Amino acid sequence: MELTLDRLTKQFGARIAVDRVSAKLGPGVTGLLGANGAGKTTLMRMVCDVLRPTGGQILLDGRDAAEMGDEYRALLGYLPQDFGYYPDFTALDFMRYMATLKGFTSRDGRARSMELLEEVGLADDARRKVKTFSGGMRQRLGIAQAMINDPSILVLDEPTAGLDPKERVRFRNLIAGFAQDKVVILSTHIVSDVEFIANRILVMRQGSFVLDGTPEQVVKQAAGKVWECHVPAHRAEEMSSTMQVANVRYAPDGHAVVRVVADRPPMEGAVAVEPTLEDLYLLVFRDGGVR
Amino acid sequence: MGTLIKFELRKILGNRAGMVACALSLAMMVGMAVLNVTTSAASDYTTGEHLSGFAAQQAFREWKSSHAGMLDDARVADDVADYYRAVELYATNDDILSMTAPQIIDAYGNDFYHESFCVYIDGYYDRLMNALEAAIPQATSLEEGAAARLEIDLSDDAAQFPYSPTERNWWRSKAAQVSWPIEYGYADAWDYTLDYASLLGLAIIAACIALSGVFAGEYQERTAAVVLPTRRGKQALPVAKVVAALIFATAYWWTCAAVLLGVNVAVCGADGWGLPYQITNFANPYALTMGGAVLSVFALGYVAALGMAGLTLALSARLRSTMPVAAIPMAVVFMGLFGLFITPIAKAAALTPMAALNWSFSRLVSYAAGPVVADLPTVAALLYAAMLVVLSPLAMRAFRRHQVA
Repeated sequence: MELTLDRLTKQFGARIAVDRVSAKLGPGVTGLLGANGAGKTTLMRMVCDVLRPTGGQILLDGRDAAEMGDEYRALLGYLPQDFGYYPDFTALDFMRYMATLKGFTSRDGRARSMELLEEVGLADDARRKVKTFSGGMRQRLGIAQAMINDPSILVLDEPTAGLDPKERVRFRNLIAGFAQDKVVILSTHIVSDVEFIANRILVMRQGSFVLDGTPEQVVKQAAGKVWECHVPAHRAEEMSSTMQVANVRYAPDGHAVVRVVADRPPMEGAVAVEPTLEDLYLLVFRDGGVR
Repeated sequence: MGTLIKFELRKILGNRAGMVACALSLAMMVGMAVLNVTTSAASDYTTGEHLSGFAAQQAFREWKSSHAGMLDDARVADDVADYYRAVELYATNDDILSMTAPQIIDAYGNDFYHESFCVYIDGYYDRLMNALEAAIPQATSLEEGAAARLEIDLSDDAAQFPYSPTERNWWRSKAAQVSWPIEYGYADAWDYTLDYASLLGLAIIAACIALSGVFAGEYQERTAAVVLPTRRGKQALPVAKVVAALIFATAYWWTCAAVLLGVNVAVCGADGWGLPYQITNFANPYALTMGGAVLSVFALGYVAALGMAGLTLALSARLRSTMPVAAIPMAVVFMGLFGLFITPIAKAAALTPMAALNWSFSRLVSYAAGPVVADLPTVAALLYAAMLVVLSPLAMRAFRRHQVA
């Protein structure tokens, strides 16, 4: 299965939110990284057929998704960034409702709903009203509804918002297991969400893809641009305001080890270190995203 | 589809503001219908004692039942004689004008009381004379009197709206279908139901409030982004939403109608279903029975409820907030009532739901386009049916094309 984004464009008045982006997405997890306002959510909405593109098209195995209509949507699973729910429905009601919308019979829908609620750790809360759920529980419910039809294309927009660290790990494992033969697009600005599970990273800035490759390939872009500097502790704060500081760690000797992202050594004695995806993110989006 | 419709009905029933509006509207209708009876006042036919509430209603039944029967020329002549006898008694004994019923009985006896006071305060004689005196010279048959009263109602001097010659002929031919002589009798349950039918406009408003969130609620609660990109989200879902909305509107509207009717029948009894509608106004041109008039008004109200549901759904699918969706149908209903008092727009205002329920079959409102004439119930029914047929598909289309942005 191959999902093709062909010069996809979305313009709101004079503002171009997504600017002729093209990509071919195959099975596995594609991490879509970008700062807030980069155009990730707009792109996700177009992929999920809830926002009409101004230009370009989406093709699934060469067929126009817009023309496929119901057939295309039947293959989709979508967790929107701002997940809405029906406060008076119980979690089970909500899942059964989504199962009905996704074409399950009443009996199959119930069984599948319970299965998914079990998988996201909400089985014991299945009969509680969604309005009584914490943010993390609602997000897990959102993930469950997106996966209920075992979608061939799973689109997750900021899926880990509101999840605690343990839930994030659980979520990552769930997606990694699910994505074997599916197209999974995971949009986030939290690098750790995709660092370990994405087969491919797309970095989006100002409506365009600016980097595309495997995590290793993408991270390489930051090679020779990440430095560690040992400085007296009082200088660490000063550096944070003048440089792109990725991390500050305080050593037992009273010095600070400052990790800096910069094209050149930020100071005498700075040592080049191996970059991470987070370093790359900072490199791409430093100064509010303007390189 | 059945499961989807059930879920959509649950969502409608979960709209708290809508359910509160529905409960309040139902309570107001019951309250007004009960108040109508409990505040009734009458005089006892035998003792002249002042009666109120249910006892007064019983007295009405006795009084009206005393006139039961066919109003043929001979009967009309007798009743006219009774009326003039009462007028004469009042003219020759003007002291009774300031006396209460028991005082009249004490002073003059029961027969005098029946021949004077009881005739004088009996609405039947008022209606009878109102029809007969419309003809010059005074009519001796009720049919002739009713025809003369109709002419006065259609004349430029009396009518609120000017009638074209075509419209006048149309009303005359409608009146010609009434079969004379008519039978008179007691039919208060149906009479009161017709009087209070416009209250069912409140049911329409409440139903519109309950339906305001059918589509707009999905935008407002951000659930549209979840439900639209599903296999059935753009085809079956909007259909299920419209079907559920119409099921709710149907169930709620007929519940209100049944409650309104039920209160009146429980208090007044079910007598008079088959009596002609003319017992409320001898010049009324509609050849309907009391029961037929009630059913016709209910049917019109139901079509209006569905039409307004269609309007609400269309607004709900276009607007992103439920508040204006609920406010617009409410404004249409209430502004229509005010519009009845503004002659240039009164005919248009009469088509709004509450006004239409108030005036249909009881007022001579007609609309002419060249040689084609139609009355208020017909035009209102066509208008609301068209609103339902046109606006519901538009609502579904707008939801399908909704852009999550």
